Amino acid sequence: MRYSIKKADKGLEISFTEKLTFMDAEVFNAVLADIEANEPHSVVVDLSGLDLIDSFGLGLFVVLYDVSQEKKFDLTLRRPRGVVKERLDYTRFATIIPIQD
Amino acid sequence: MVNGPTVRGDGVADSVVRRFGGRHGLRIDHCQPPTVVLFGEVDCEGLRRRLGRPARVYIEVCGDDPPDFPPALADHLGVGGFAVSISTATAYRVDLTLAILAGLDACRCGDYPAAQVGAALQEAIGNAVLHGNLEIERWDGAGRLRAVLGQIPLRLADPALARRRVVVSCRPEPGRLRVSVTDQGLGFTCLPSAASDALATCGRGLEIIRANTLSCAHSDGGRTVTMCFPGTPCFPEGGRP
Repeated sequence: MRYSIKKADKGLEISFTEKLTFMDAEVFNAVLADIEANEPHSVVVDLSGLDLIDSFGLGLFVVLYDVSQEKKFDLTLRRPRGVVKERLDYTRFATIIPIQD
Repeated sequence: MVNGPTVRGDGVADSVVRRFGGRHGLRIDHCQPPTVVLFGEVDCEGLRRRLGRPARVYIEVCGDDPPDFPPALADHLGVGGFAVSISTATAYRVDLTLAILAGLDACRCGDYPAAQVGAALQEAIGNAVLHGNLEIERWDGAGRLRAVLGQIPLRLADPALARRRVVVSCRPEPGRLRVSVTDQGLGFTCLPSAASDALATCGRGLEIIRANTLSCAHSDGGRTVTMCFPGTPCFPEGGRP
C-alpha cells in the first residue's frame, strides 16, 4: 500500500492507494505514527484509490478505530469502491466508522 | 515429454542448477522449455514475468545450496498445472497472488474466476505466511493486532522463519481448478468465523476463502489449505502445453 497525508485545519486527510493486505504491517505502523505525531481532531481516510483489501487490512481499520477512540479524534472513511466497498459493507464497518460515498 | 524433464536456472549459479538437476534426475537443456525453473532474488514484476513463462515447477533458491524438491512439487512433473515454492521473506515482499494469476494465464488453464481465485489465494497466502511460517498467533482485539504489526518485522528478521517455504500448487481437473497453499509452520486449528462482526480483527480470512471457492479443506494439521474453483481447463490432461 502507498499512502499520502494532507493537513487541513486541525485534521488530517490520508489517502490509501493500491492494496491494503497482510504485507502492509510496516507501512501501517508508519501511518499510525504520523497520526499520533500530528494529534489531529479529525482523520479522513480517502479510499478511492484503494483497489483491494484483505482480511488483515480490514483488521487494520479496527486498529485505526481503536486509536481514534484512544486519542479522541473523529475518524471517517471516504469513497471506498469495488471490492473494498463490498467488504466494508459486508462487515458492517459503517456501524463503527462513518463511511462517506 | 521428450527425453524427460529438464531444469533451468534464472539468476542462479550454474553449480546450483547442476547439483539440483543431478540429485533429482533433471537434465539441463536450453533448447526446450524447462520443466523446472530455479530462480534467484526477485521483485514483484520479476516473479510475475517468470511465472508467465511456461514451466511446471518454479523454485526460489536462497543461498548457495540447491533447494528441496518435496513430493508436492515433484508431483507436478507428471501432471498438469504448475507449482511455486518461495521463501516466507519473498512471499511477504512480493505479490505472489498476482504472480500466480499470471501463471494461470500463461498455462492456459481455461476459464477460471480470476477475481475469486485472487481473493481466496490472497487470504490463504496471508495465513500461510503470518499464522503458519512466522508463527504469529491469532490476534483477538485491536490492541493485539497492533502488537502484531511490530512482531512481523522481528519474525521476518529470524532467518529460520524467513527461509520457511510457501508452496502454491495449481492443478486443473475436469470442470474445476484446484489450488493448494502449504506452509511449514506448526499447524492450524480452524476457529469460528467473525466475518460480519465489524469490531473483529481476526477470523474473516477463512470466511472470504469459503465465499470465493466451490470447496476448501485443510490437511496436514492445517498446514495445507486446498481450494477448488469452477473452471474449464483447456490444455491436455498430463501437462502444460
